[in-house]
Amino acid sequence: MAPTAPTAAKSASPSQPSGKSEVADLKQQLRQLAGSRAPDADDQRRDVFKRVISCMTAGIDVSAAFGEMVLCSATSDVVLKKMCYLYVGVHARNHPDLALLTINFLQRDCHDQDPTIRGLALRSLCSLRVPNLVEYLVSPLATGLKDPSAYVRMIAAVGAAKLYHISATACLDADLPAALKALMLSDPDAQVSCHSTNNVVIIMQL
Amino acid sequence: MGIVFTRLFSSVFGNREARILVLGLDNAGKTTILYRLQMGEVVSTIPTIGFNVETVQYNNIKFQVWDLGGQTSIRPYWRCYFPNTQAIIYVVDSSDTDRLVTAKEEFHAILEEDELKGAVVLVYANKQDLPGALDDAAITESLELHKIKSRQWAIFKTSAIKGEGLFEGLDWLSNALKSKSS
Repeated sequence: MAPTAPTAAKSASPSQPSGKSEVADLKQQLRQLAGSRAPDADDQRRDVFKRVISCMTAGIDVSAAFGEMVLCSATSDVVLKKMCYLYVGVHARNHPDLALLTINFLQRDCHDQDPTIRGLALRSLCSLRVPNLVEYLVSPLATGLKDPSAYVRMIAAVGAAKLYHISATACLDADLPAALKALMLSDPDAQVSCHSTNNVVIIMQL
Repeated sequence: MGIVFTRLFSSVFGNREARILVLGLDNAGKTTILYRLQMGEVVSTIPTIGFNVETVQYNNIKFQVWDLGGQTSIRPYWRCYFPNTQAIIYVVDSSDTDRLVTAKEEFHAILEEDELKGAVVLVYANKQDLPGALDDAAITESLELHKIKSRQWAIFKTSAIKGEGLFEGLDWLSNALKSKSS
C-alpha cells in the first residue's frame, strides 16, 4: 500500500490558542511577572491571566502553569485575584501540594477590609476541595459565619456545606452545623437565612 | 556613547532591582523581619502557609523580598522560587538550640542548588533579645559557615522585635550586590 501524502497542517486560528507551546509561553510570562511591582505589571498580568482563563475555557490543559499562577497570587488587584482564584480552584485537586502555597494569601484576604474580597477569598478557600487543606478552612469559615457583612455570611453558609462534603468530621468538630442553625433562625438578612436553611438541610441529608 | 551615559547615570542615580529569598525554619522570624524592613514596625504574624512578597526600597536598590513559609511541609516547595534569585537571607532562631542541626542541614541543602549558584548569602542570627540566644560566632560554627568558599556571605546578630542589626545586614547586602554587578 502506497504511503499517503502528509496532510497539510491546519493553521491555528489567531483567536484559538495553540496548546503546549501556548502554555509554555504563558508559564514563562507568568514567571517574569511574578512579584513584579512595576507600574504596568498589573496590566500585563491581567492580559496573561485572561489568556490563561481563555485557554481553560477552550479546553486546553493549562494545569502545567499552576506553580507560576501561585507565584502570581500575590496581588492587590481584585480582578486579578478573581482570575487567579478561579484558576486555582479548578486545578487545585491536580496539584494538592502546590495548592498549599495559596493558603497564606487566601487567609489574609479573609481578613481584608473589603467584604467583597473577604467573600471571594472564603469562597475560593472552600473551592480548593483538597482534603489535606481542611485544617486551614475551619477557622476562616467559623469567622465568616459571624462576619458583619451579610454577603460574607452567605458565602460562609455555603462553604460550611462544602467543608462537610470534603470532611464531615472537621465540620462537626468545629460545630459549624450548630452555627448554621443559629444563622437560619436569627440572621436579619433573608438571603443568609435562606442559604443557611438550605445548607443545614444538605448536611442533614448527607 | 548614549548607552554608556545611560548605564552610568542609572548606576549612580537609578534604582536597581534585586530578588531576595528569605528562608529559614518555621518560627525563625522571617515574616516579622520582612515587615520590619518594609514598614519599620513589628506586626503580629501567623505561621506563613505559603509565602509573602513585598518590595523594600533601600540604598538605591529595590529589594523584591520573598518570605517563604518554613514548615516541614512547605520546605520542598522552596525550589519553586529559586530561579533568578540574587541573594538569600537565611534566618536562624538563635535561641532554638535544639533545631540548629536541622537549620544547618536545610541551609547547606539550599547552597547545593544549581539555581542558587550565584546567590549572595546573608545570615541573620535572629532573636538576640531572648535569653540563651547564641551569638554570631556560635551560629557561624553551628551552621558551618566557614565551609562556604564559592560565594560571598556574612552573618549579623539581629532582633526583629527591637529592629537591631537588620539594616546593617541590608547595607552589607547592598554593597555585595553592587560589587557583584559592577
